[in-house]
Amino acid sequence: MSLLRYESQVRPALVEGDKDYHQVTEDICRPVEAKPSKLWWTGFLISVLMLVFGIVSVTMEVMYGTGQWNLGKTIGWGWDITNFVWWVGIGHAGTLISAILLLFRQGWRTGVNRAAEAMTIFAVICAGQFPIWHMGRVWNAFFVLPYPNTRGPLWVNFNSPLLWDVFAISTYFTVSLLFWYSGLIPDLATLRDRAKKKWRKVFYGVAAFGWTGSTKHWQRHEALSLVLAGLSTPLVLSVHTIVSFDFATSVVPGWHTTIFPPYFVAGAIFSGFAMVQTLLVVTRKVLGLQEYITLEHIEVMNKVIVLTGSIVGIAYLTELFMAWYSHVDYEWFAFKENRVNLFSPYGWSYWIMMGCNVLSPQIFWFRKMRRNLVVTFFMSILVNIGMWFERFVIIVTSVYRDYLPSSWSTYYRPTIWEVGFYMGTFGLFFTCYFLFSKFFPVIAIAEIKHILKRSGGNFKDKMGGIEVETVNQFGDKHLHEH
Amino acid sequence: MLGSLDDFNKILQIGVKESPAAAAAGAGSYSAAAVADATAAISGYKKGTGDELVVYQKVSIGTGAQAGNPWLQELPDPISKATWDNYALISVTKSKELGITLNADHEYYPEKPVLEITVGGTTMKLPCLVIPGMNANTIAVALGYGRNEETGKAAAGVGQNAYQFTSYNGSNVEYHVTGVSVKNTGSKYKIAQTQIHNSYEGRIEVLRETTMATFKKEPNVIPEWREELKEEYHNNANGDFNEATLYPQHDQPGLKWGMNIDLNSCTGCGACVVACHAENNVPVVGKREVLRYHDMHWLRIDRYFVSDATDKDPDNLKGVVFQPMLCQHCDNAPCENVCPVAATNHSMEGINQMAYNRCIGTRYCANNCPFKVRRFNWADYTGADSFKNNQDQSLVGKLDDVIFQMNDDLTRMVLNPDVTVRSRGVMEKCTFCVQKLQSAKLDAKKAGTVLPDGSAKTACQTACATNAIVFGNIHDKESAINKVREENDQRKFYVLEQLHVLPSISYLAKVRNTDEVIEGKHHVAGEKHEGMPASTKPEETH
Repeated sequence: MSLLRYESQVRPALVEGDKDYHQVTEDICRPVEAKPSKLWWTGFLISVLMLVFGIVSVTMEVMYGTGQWNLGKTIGWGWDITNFVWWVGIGHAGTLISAILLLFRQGWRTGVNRAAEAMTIFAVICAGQFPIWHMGRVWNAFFVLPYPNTRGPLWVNFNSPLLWDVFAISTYFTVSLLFWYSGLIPDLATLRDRAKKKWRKVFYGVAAFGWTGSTKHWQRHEALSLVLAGLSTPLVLSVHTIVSFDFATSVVPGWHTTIFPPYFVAGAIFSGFAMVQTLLVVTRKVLGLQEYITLEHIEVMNKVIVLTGSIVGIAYLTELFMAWYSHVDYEWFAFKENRVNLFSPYGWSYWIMMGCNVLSPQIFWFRKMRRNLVVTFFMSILVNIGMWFERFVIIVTSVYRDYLPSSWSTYYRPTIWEVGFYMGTFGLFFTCYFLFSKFFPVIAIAEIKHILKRSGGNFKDKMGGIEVETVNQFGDKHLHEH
Repeated sequence: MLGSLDDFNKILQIGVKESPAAAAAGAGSYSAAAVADATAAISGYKKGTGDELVVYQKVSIGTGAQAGNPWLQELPDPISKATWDNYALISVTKSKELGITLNADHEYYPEKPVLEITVGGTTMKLPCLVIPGMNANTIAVALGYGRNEETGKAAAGVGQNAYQFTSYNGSNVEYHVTGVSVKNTGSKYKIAQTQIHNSYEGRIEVLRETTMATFKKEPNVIPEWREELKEEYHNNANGDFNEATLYPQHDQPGLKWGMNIDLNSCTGCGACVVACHAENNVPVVGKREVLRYHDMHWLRIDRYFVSDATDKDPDNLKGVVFQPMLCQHCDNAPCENVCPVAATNHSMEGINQMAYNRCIGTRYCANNCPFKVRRFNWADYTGADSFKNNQDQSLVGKLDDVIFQMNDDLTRMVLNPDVTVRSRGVMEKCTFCVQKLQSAKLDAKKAGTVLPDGSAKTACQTACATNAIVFGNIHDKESAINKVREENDQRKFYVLEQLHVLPSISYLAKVRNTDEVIEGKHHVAGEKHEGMPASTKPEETH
């Protein structure tokens, strides 16, 4: 019943150009089936080199101890946990796009969901490295898993937010991976069916799990998508809430704050969308997918960025106000002297955070800026820098001068291995992303086809005629077809 | 020789042993001639030009005879809080003369200005530490440093030899010299201090100190404040203390250990710190690691300078307060609930204990400890780790030779066999010397008696020369700890009591013996410096 799939002309087309189903498949499969370009090889090799540097950095830390990082008796967490929270936050945009936007029937998600979900998975993998390798005795990391054991049995501490993290992050990773992969299956089958080389047939054949495209398969696929969307939706809110508990449930002034859960979730979506922009602005250009990831998509995501950036801004001001209003001297000191005071040892980091996260996104109130690719790319980087500093500010500026002035600490500067670990996760992330963009369709082919006849540019244009027709004209023209 | 016990006590009290013969000869008589002689002698004393340099013995190193002991090298000086070095102590006034800016960078970075000190023909380049309360024109340098290899590995190459500044006047060695010229060389040298901030910032919840006159005028400030706090908590917890925390109360059916530390008695000498090292196999980490804030002291002595923020003369120091700080063994411990693997937990005797084998080293407990008393094994300090060659790092975190000295087979024999040697990546902290408590309990069991009060002693308590530390079972109503607490209720406080972490260690406020009356609600010298860090007051070091 194609005629019921009518969409208002006011809504901009989600797929531009003169596309039919075949053309969609061709466009999206082309980068997967073509030989990798020089550009791809360059990017991939740089990523692998960074990953190797990261592996060396972690090896040094495991071999010689956490003293390979510049942490100390006062600052027990630094770049490690900052990076952890940063990467986890980035993942959130993917889940929001794939799950919440699916439930809200936002058609525009189809253009970006595949890449965003992939980003989520890679970001969570990167994030997970930090809590694991930051342990002093990582070879005993399995102690955090609650399983029957011969040590007593010795059980984990269910009161600890770090244990909640274990559950939150592992659940998040599992559900995200399933969601992403189940979405991939029809597209993998497409690639299998188009494959001309033996290894491609085998690889995509195995990966597609024997998908035939039968109605029964589609029906189950749709049902599974909905179930996984339903499971993912609370995760968008819960994962970063739990990460924020790492700080909120402590007694450290500047951490002990009830506002953290919503503030962290907003910040996570904010940084996640920024990362999606960073990736997609480049991906659509390099793979020639501008007709699928349109300026429309970019603009919508920029709107999300200005909204969540402003929520984050309100959160910053609220916690600052509460620190003063609470009359808790220690809390107020953490804010007034450790953060807001520009001339304090870390004052600069607070103001970088404020500038990048609260002030700069306000530029997106202007439509022209939202649709400007250069501005978008630049802003997405700025937001990610700002969000990194948010976590740094929360973690380091709270602990370095807390309760006892005798224990106030020196400046904390990362060592080469701390920087290397962070760089290494970039290497890991981009290695994964380059492989993904080479071997998997970066846009969900099946889902694009699903919206094509409703929201595709040429179909909309053809349907535009309906708007000027009277009911009788419409009836005369279409009804006898059936 | 000293006569009766009364005589002895009198000598202690007045601080002088009077010779009976001299007293009989001219007791109380005034001799104008003698005074004139004395005046003449004083004015005839050679007046040097320039500054005076005093050579002194540190409590830890002494004349240098103790320089070979790594424990003592790593013991922070009571006043300067510096380890592994000697240096020139100068006043704030002097630092201004020398053009040293006492800003946040000066406080936070270990690089301290190097002075060139010239006395006669001797010139020495020494880093300086600015200590408020020094005489404006006096420079002090500790003896016993600059030893050679033969003295021992720990002493070799640490600091510089200040004996060159001493002289022999025919009958005595003079430990001071005038006519010193000092110059700021402009270069810097790293000094490893375990504490860099000198003021307690008027944080009365951290430290209680007052003057005698103020205390006499209003003796009940502390109990009243504690009562207020309790009431507030009570009201916030719906009238039930058990509801002030989410977590269940610990059941302590038998013993419940508690400690009391009298800040009035504490001289800051650090004997307890060394005793703790010896008893509990606390590793020495060397200067490089102390510089990185990796020192392992389970027990440390926080030193705060008390001065009036409004005072024009920054060297007008009103007092120095020493606060021994160790694990407070909180009954509502913030470290316990955050450990994902329950490696740190509460014993039935109220001890916050560490299961080293269980610890995976997330360091969350240390972050969440308001007292910052938890110490992490950042590297393999003890050589106890199963990883091979993990002490030969060269790029980052190179370890000092002294660590290996403490690891060799012979030196290892000083280790206490009753205490686990901790490996790398594990958190550790004060245990209340649980091994000593255990042995006391076993002794009592063998003797078939109830644990006698005072039989279980911690190492720090045993080492304390002034009996500032009292330890015992607080369930025993007759115990010394309970008596001390009862008798000193007006000075008794718990550090950060407002957090409701329920520490097991109480402190008795420091009362400085002066007639000055401090006005204001909380009796803090100079009133509360409304959260004033060094960074906002560039001219202040205290």
